Amino acid sequence: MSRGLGYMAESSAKAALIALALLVALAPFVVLFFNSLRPADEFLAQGAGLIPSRLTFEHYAEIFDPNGDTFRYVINSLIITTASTILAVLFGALASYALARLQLPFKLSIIIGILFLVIRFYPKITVALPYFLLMREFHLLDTHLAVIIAHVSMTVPFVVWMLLAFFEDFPRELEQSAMIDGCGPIRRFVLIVIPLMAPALAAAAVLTAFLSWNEFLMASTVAPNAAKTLPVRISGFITDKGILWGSMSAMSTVIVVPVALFALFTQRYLARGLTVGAVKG
Amino acid sequence: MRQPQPYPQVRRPAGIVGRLEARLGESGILLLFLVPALLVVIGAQLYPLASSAILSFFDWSLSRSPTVGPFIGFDNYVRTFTDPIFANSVAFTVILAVCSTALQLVCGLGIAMLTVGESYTLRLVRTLLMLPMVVAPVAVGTIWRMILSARVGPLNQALASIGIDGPNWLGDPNWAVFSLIMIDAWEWTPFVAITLTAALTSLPSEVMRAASVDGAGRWTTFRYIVLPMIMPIFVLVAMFRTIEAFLTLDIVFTTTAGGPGYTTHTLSFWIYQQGLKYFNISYAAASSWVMLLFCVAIAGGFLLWRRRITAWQVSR
Amino acid sequence: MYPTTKRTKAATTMAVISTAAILLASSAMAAELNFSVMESGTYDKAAAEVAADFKAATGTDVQISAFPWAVLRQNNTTDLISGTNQYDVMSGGYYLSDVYSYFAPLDDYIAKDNYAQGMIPGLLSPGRSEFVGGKSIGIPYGVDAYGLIFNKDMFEKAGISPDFASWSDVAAACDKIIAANADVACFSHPTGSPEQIGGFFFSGYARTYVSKDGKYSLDVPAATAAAEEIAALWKYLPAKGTALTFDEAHQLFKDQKVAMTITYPSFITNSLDADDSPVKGHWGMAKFPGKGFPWLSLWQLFVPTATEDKDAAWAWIKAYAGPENAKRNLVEHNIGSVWSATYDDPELKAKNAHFWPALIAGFASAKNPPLSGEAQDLLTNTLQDIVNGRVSAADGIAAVESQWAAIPVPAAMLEAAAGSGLQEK
Repeated sequence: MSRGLGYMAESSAKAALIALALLVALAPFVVLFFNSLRPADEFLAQGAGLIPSRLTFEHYAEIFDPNGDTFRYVINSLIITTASTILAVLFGALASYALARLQLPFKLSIIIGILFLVIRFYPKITVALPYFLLMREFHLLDTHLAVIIAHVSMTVPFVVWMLLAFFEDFPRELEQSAMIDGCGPIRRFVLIVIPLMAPALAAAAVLTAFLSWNEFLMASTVAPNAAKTLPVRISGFITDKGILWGSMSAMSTVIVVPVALFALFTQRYLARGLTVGAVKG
Repeated sequence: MRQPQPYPQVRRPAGIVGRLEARLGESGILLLFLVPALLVVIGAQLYPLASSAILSFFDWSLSRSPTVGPFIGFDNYVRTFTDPIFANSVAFTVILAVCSTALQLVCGLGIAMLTVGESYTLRLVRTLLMLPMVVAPVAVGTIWRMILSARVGPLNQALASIGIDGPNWLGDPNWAVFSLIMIDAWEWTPFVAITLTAALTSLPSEVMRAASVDGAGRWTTFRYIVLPMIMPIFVLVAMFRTIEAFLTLDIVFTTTAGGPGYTTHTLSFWIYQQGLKYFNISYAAASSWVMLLFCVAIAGGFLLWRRRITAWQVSR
Repeated sequence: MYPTTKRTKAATTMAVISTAAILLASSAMAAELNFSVMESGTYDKAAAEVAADFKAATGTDVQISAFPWAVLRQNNTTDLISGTNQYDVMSGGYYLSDVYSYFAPLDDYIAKDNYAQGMIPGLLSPGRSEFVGGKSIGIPYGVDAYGLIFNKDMFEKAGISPDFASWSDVAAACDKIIAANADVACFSHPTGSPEQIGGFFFSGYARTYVSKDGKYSLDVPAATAAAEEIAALWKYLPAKGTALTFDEAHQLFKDQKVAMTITYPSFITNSLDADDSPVKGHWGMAKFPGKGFPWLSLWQLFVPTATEDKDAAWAWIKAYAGPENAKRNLVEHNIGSVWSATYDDPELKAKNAHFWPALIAGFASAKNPPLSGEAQDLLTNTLQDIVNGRVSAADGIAAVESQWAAIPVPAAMLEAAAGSGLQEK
């Protein structure tokens, strides 16, 4: 009896804690959403409640003004994210496969692996300026390509590291029998490795997509204008005169909603991508 | 990982691919596979990294001259170590990294313990709890700046409705430090939670069953069995989070812009100001190399710690 | 060897040259000018209006690139030093001093059109407009100077007149204001924009910023006293008022929660006189306190040396910054006219009698400090630390003084300091 009561007390305490965690994690998004529908004059009024006195779509209308540039930023972000993801996963899969299969001298595989690991962990600010100067040399400033190259170079090490962990478990027998049939590495990679690695590749792709969609520093450094992405745009709502809360909330909602939906649908891959490095590394 | 399946039947060497494979040989092709990734990483990361290392020994401010100035040895590094604002930024960054990481580890472990399991509800809860870390850090900053606005923000209004006079979150130096710690912890606790959930899931089922048994033995089980088993991952997660907290830039940008005064200048923010606002390129390069070496040292420390833990476990 | 070949070669060369010439000419005909400006809903909107007229009149298509202030500053700088040369005409102010050497001197154009005639006296001179090597590079188009805007009713209740010699006088008045007006704080200010605290310092500190030998340097005792005055004044901000945006600071004044607001008037005067404004008819503007100078905000147009068609750039400058559109820009967008004639307009003069005299007096004495962006940030961030109690005024100013020694004075700023009397003699 007492044990039953204890159990009930404990599970309700557990539920309460989970509810609290959910509240803390999600309440800011609710605030953001309501603020994107709040009339402009209410932002500076003391005593305005969480829910606006009336709902307005003026901020969305404003940021999606046909003469405005929001669509361009959305398209820029989409182009950059898509291209970066495809390239990073492709390059990363090729490289990690090679690293896993090559018998390189002098522990070169390990050195390359560590190199990639280091890249994950140094302040990106270190390369931002030299990268800016490099892009200036190649006349690539303010182009999609400049941001894509930056994002691919930032995420490829991540992808390689992650996929290497998967290759450790990869059954070699399959490949060996294909080898006997005279299959070289290209065909083995395309016909055997890629299909079997699909879940891992998906996990890598999901993670890369998030990183690229959200990245601010490099994008703001090399693409201030024509190739500007959504995160860079958001920082622009803090003007010298004030903060355009309404537009900023609407724009933030625009950038958050796709990611949130994407996260809900790709949850398994995302969790796998995030944890493999730590759990298996 | 899926179960091995019979590989699809492929025809013998034919076409360009076959000939290419034959000509370059096994290692040749595999080396070729390495090329794109190495090229992009070397070109866009290692080359800029090396060039910033070289620049750090020269005197160059882009605003004064479009070309690199004279070689000045370690002067930029001396300046870094004597710059009071750099020291101030180091202090704040360390406070932020330590407090925020500790908070994330505690909350993340708690959430992982609470939500581990495969039921539909728990999976949904885990997904929802993940949202803070998947939105753009820039947006995280703007959201919190709105919420923490001292006079008209929803948090202080909510506090006022229950009779509490909320603090000046971002305007008071001490509260600004506190606020940034909270924001960083809010954003990244999910990462810790997800990783530790995965670690708990990978434990043998008997261990988890023992840990969920009611009673006095439970804390003992957690303390002496579960915790040691997930310790290597715990250390790794701590390392990821500490280092990334060191790199915090985006949320500072959109919440306090480093203020009030120099209160919330992180190292990254200060280097950003030096490099991309004042264009003191060589000085920014030197400062960022100091920071880089610092980060590498921290990572090394954590990895050594982890190795000792693992070795100790194996030896048992 | 073979005459025919030679001739063919010559013909080909001719053809190439003439094609190139035609291409150049046609590109000049379909002229396009890229103009960078602040995204504020005023300067950029005005530019769009003027650009439409300009295209109709000249056929030149002006592309307007508008950015928030900090982004504009960075984009302009980056564009110049990276040699991208995307913008043919740029908007900016003295904070671009690091890159002045990239701008073309405009003296010949000014002389040719006698452009300076009719401008507010002294506006086109060093320390106000921008110069490099003694040559004019910046053409002013929007002027503003820090102002002290006050609530007449509250001042009357407290029995004080808005005539302050120093910030200490203001602080003394604050005690009376708070005593006489319930639930009112003394003043608001955009405290959340860290650089704005400079407005108090530049007016409270009446000494020099550059030493005899051309280094950044303060008169330490005077600067410490000025910083202490500001720190004392900060206690009279509204509760939790140390991180206000411009909009929040202005709203507090409009809502009659504060008796004064210290800000750039052009940001707020229109809204205070709007029909729904509770303070309409109840506010005025006072002479700016302090023996230093009111901080000048002077938006100027610059032409990078890399701009190919400088004549077209000058034509655009005349259209956007010239006297023709000045009144419309002021009335519709509250862009402070740089032309004296605007302030003689009888209709506007009558309508704005409650603040124009103080505003125009401010224009006459306002200046910019001869500080590079880095030097100014160091000063204003440290002042923020002082008023927030993180460091004492003495220690803070001493730190600024010692760190300023490592920051070079841009040549243009040295000129400006000498020209505006802000260098030690």
